[in-house]
Amino acid sequence: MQRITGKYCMAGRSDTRPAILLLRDDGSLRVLATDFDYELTSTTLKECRQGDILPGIPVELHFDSGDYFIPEDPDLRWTPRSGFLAYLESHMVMVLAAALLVPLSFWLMFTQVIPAGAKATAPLVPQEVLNRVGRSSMKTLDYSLEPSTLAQYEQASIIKDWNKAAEKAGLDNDYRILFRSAIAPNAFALPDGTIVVFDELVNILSRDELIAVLFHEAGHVDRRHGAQMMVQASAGAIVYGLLLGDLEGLSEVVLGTGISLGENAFSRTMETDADDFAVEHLKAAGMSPDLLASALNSLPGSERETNSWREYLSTHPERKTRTERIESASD
Amino acid sequence: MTTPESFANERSAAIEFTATPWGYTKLWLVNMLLTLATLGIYGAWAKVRNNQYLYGHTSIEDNRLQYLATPKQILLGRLLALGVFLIFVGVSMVEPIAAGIMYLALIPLSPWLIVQGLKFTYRNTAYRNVRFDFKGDYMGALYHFIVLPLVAAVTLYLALPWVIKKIHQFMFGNCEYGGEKLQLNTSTGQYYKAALVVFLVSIIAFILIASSMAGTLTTMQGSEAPNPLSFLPIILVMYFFSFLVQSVFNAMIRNHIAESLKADELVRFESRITVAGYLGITLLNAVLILFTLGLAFPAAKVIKMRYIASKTTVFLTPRIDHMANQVEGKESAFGEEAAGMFDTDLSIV
Ligand SMILES: [Zn+2]
Repeated sequence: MQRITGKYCMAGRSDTRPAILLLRDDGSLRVLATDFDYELTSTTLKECRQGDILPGIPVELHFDSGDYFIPEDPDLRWTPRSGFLAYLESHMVMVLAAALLVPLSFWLMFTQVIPAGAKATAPLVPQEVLNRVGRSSMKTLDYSLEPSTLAQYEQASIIKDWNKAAEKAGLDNDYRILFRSAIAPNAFALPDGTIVVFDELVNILSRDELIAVLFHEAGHVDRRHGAQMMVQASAGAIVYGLLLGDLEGLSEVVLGTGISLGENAFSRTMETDADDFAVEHLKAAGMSPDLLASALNSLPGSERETNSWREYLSTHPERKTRTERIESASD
Repeated sequence: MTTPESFANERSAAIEFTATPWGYTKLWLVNMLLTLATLGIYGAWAKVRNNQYLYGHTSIEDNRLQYLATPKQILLGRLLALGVFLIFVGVSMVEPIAAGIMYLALIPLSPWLIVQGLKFTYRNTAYRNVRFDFKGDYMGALYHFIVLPLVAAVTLYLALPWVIKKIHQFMFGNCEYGGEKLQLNTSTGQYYKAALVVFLVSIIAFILIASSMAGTLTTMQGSEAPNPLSFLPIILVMYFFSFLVQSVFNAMIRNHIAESLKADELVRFESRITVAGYLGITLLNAVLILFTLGLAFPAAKVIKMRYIASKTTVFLTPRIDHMANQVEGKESAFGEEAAGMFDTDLSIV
């Protein structure tokens, strides 16, 4: 017979009694109050429910009445084979595996699984949705953009040249070119096939270089990069909410940074995707793929030295890497 | 400082916090791995076990705190919150204007979520078998979490310390234990005092950062590509001051809250947190988290809780030995889970 010292707690009441639990080998047990030595309950182990097992915390034994007994000894177990979770949680191999696998899985999740999933599901996003997204984001963007100051005939001639090149390249051309003005030379594509070109870009590029950039932007649309980003963003938000909802403060910042680095890596692959698309169609249109490289090089700040770590912080691959890639493709 | 009146027959008790950084790290890591392996479903169980560990290792007079929520409750609430969240994400991508309307609709809904969340958290926390309860209602939450922050904004944040005080009173003053309401008699003056200290520290920080910024910028002239590393000292100084400001405010306000919180003839508290101590813990945790890329999160949590527990004393009267539970813990976890999902946790203190 085992004599287990502990405390007897009453259901729904704060009253407690110091108690001794007498456990016989056949599983029958009696709980006696230590102070007055009277019986608090008597039952068998089978009729009791054992509380959750957590490291360093005594395991409660619950009785039918709702009362329960807490042993003094935190290591006491009521049944010999119990506490699988507590075993995992304190077993060194498991903990080490977790310490390695948890960061690794997060990394894979945000750099591989979600992007691959996004790529696979992007074609399933209906075109109607993409058109709506394109229209509404253009509306939002127009609040911060200035109207173009390019002459009508210049805009028309750019569009004419683009249509010609696209036709020659065998591109299904339902792209809509819009001109706007902003501070920096840039161009971007919206998922509905709208390509926005800033005056500042038109001013520093030759006409052929501009066509090369348009092919690149068309590549973003054709490869459904907008839909991929949408899927990726929502999947990322769900994973983050489900797995890391209880993080707070600096940990949230650190992990958030890690995740956005992973997402940056993904958007860099989209840039090289679009470059490949542009190179392929430039060739088909009988133009030199080098045009894209020289367009990239005409953007300001092109003399910057390459820093590989900086590449990780940016959404675009380092220009040198991109131009090398394009030039090797043009051979 | 207001010295709280003591009760005639009170006895003092330390808060014993026996969780260890390594012990909790092990539990947390394995639970995170299981959560990953089950695509997030185990997360509900992980949350319960993590809380059971932290609560169970907190004891007053040899009685451990209890976390009584069940994984099923949490999983259900979480799935519901996830569904709502997904609808939001979907709509805001396709139709930003409709999403704007949905967000507006969320404003009158959020007090309800806050009350639900607080009710869930309080009712699933128990000491000696008696659950806590939250008695705040929808209108109260609407006033404290929507109207008062607007008041703060309109007054150019001059009213902010008072607003924070009111919010704290709403959150703690509506807490009940075994039918006994807690009272939080904080004074507005203490909040303004803390705010003033924070303001002065911020001014000093601003001057220091601005002058070192000017220094860095002049040394950088001539080199075309600024090396982002040269900004590192400034970033570190900025972090240091933000921690300092947090520590000042937290230490002052936590102590004041503890000393102003009581249930008549049942319980009162004392807190002796120091700015230096709190700052030390915050800095240590920041370094730990940065160097482990976030893996030290559980250890940092334990270190902070251990510090706060070690500086807090509870005074209890013999009435604590004969309290009766008044509430069940059966409500939905939706409010709390939605708060986590939309990242509007009420971590004000
Ligand atoms: Zn691009």
